[in-house]
Amino acid sequence: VVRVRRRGVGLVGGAVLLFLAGTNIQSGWLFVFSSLLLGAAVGGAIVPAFMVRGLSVERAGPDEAFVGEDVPVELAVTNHRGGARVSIGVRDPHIAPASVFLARVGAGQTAVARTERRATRRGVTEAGTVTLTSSAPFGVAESRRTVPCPGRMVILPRVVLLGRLPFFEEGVASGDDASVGTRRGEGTEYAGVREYRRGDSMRHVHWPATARHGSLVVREMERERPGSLAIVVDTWADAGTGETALDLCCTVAGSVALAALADGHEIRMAGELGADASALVRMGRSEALRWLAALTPSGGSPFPTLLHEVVTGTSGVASLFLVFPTWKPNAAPRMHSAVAPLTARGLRVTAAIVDASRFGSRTPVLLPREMAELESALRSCGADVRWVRGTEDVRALEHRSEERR
Amino acid sequence: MSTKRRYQAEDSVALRVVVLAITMVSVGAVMAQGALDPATAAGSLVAIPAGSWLSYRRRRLANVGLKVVLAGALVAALAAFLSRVRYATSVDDARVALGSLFVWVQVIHAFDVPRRRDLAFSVVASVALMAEAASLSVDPRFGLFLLPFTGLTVAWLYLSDRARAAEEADPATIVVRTAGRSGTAGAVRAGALALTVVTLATGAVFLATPRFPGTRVLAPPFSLANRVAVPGFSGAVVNPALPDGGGPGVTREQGYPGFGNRVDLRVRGELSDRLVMRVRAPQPAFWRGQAYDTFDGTAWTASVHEAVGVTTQGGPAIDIPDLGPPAAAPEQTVVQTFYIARQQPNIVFGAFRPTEVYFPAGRLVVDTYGSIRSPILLEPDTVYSVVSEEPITSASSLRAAGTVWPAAFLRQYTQLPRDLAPRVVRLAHQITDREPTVYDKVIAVQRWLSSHARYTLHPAPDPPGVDSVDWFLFERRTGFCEHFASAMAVLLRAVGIPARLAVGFDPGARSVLTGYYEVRESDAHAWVEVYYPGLSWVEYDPTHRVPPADPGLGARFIAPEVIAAIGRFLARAIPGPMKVVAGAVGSAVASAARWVVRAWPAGLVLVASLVLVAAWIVRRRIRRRRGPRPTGADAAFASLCTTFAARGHARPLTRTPREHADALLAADTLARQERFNIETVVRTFEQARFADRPPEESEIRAAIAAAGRIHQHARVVDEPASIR
Repeated sequence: VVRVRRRGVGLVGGAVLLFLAGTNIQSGWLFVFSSLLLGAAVGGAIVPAFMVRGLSVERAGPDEAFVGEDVPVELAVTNHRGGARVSIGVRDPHIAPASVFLARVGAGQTAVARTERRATRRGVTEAGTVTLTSSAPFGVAESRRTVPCPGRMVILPRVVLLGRLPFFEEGVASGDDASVGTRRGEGTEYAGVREYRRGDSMRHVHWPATARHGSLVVREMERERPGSLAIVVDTWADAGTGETALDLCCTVAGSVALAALADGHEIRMAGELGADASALVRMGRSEALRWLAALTPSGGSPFPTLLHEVVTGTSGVASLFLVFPTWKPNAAPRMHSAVAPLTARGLRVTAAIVDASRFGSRTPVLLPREMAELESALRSCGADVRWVRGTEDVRALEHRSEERR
Repeated sequence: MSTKRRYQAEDSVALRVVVLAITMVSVGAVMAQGALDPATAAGSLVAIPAGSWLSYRRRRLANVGLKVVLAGALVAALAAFLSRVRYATSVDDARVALGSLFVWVQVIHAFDVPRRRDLAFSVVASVALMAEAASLSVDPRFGLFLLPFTGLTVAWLYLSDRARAAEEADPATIVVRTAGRSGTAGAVRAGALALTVVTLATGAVFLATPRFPGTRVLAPPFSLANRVAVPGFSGAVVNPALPDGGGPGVTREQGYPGFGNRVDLRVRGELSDRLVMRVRAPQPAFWRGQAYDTFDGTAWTASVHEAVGVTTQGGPAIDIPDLGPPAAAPEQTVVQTFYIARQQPNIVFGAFRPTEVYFPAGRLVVDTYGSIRSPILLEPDTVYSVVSEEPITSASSLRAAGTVWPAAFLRQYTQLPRDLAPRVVRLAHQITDREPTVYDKVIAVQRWLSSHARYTLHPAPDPPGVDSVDWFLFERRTGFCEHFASAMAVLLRAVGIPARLAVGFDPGARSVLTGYYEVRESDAHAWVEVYYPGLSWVEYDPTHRVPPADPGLGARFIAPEVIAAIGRFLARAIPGPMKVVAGAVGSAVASAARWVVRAWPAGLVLVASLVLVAAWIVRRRIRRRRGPRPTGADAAFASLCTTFAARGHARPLTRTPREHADALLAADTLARQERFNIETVVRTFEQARFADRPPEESEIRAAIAAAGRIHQHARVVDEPASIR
């Protein structure tokens, strides 16, 4: 693709003026001068097409980064042809649009441009191409060529480092079989016996078994573990530019997930991916963040419907953390009917509600009155309600809801 | 990148030096054309570099006081320009004033060029100055300025664009891994590519640029460098090269003897190649000086010596009255400016028929033949302009012209020597009697001369007492322009057609660079003028068989002159033996070209055949590259793949037929609907390729039919609803 620049228009205009002047006063030198200008314009439009040929680009950079992080990305431009390439621009849309200028890439040489790009959006960024541009040598026209340059990077959601979260403390002992894990430790429940190891307390020696075995045998106890935390994210819709409603949901979910994992809790996460609702899946730190990074608005089932489907998979879950924006389908009656069965089963339910009205959404959102109704409906069925209007509200999740009020 | 950055001061010393050099070259070019007064010239040479240096040092300062002073200086320069241009009477006057203004603008601007775009303004102003110099230049020496100017401008274009592109880019650390070849070779190759492309483009544009006649806005230029009055001027021609007026013993080495009071056909010798004048004109023409109407068998003279004096009437132009017979042919205005390079007689040369003359003497004399004389000699560096109304004629208009001339006119222009040999008259009738019109008779005579006589600059001398035309026509059959023109005039007069001999210069070679016709002494020429009643005098050149016609579109382009110039260069540069070979090759090519033109149907067939053969070769290559067209089960599977590739499911090379079928069934609704047909195609293909038993013919037919049904279904599905 060749795009004529203002300088090219100027050269052609100058050539026309000189031609007219030359015609009027019959001056041959003006025709020569006019031809030089027009020749430079024509040549300057043709040469850039050669300059962007025979070049390939390879991109190198990390696989993951957090939103807001400056990511180092290297672009290696190789000239496979015999002639040097001058004034080469490389436009790379990957992660954040970047433009690099290479004054010269010699024959067979590789020039590496190291850039830093701010990861501004959560998500999986797949780059297929970069655009090579050149307006060399005269800048009268710019030639563009798109070359393949595959690349993939997961931009993890912004997370806020949180301390101990109040809603886990209350959910540890509740639930049917959720509070006891399978790991051995310093708990009160008897798990079995084993041979004495150096450092074991003599108080734990199981004397009958020691007598039978002929050597020291100690009792082994089950370790008490916090209960599982299930995080369900509403991916029905999204709105906003820059950091969107779904991005904020992911920030909330990611922050809570990391805090829970740091506290030794097991986490399970669910949300609608594509057309299908995912079941609650046990995840580690990296898996959780990658899962959140990949979330995109599904447009499938609204959140209350998703909750009905997720209810069946809450076995072993002590606390349920729901993150959802105030989309119209998340109105009080439907959310009440979805959450009430969960609290009735003894689950500790916390709802982090993202105020979607501030994102300038075209998707219908709840009115202030409806938001108040939603809060009271959720509270009426025993759920804890936290409002999130921005990243700064995420830190408030550390506090008890009463303190906040 | 940002607005703030765009207004940054330009720190590149290289860019500033290049722009300064561009400015100095352009000022030098104007100076070389003598368009600057010494004070402006000296001032600009000192002030522009000083201003540039000061501007570089103060590029980051606001310079408010300096700007005020510069604005005042600019107003003063503009006022000076307006006062000068107000009194300009010719285009040259205005151009010189404009040149001074541009130089002062450059001087003033040089003191305040903090930014890159200010430097760009300097370059644009320099282009204007160069254009000014180009318009004033009449010789190729302007190239000495244009070449470095072009090189420097290319450097400026490159440097400034590179700086812009680097500025617009994001900050990055660049590391070059020097794994490649030598950097110099690659750079040279890239530079050579750019230079070749630009040179070819410039050449093509130059050759394709048409040269149209211009519009006269102001008076054309005229000036006098050295006034040498003709002593006792009475209207007669005074030729300094022929002090005795071209009497016996004169030779052509002294100068063309026809510029005087007679043209003697017995004079021999070769004219030199000295440049006598440059002519700026939109098209070639004979630069006519004199005409003769009386032939005595050896020489031409003028029978009428009356002349009319004409002077300027308030303006710079001198109107030239038409003293000849009435002329009603349509005319076109041709403005010519003559730049005299070598002393010439007091003849005002110009294309026939002059109507206005801009001449540095306020008075001229015009005779009844339309020839103009001045009271001063044409000294070197004299400039004058002639506005002519050239008759526009065509073969049809000339054929339709009348055949009745006034008796006195007929007597004057059909005069013949008393002792003219009867065989000349017989020959004239023999050539022309079968021709129906005057025009056809003229052309017949011209044609006869070109086929029965040969041109030479060194014909044998005439024996004493013979009629020169008779001797030329029947004995010698060789001669130069005067012999050809005289013979034609005499033959036409012999059958009653009024004709006269005109002398002057032929157009000369048009300089490819300046566009000016460069007229040399050897371009002095004689030709014939024939009068068509009611139309006009029409010029005929039997020497070169120049037909009377409009110059046509071809004359509007410089390409023929370029080819001629290249030919002249090669003729000088190539050694003799090679010239013979080249001449033979050229003749062969020309013969072939003529044959092709004559036998155009055969040529057309030949071209068509070549195109067909080329198309066949290309097709065969494509087929070879693609491999043979698939058949049988292969064709069915290929059709299946093509159908679904068009729907966005191309088959990767690594996918087996079965895997591809499964992928289609998973991804495409149409595939699911056509599951049975797909299964048939794939199964047959697998059997043909991989099974120990090839499929039956009926199975292959079924597979092809299945592939066809899938394709048909896909077409129906893909059609817009409106078509369906």
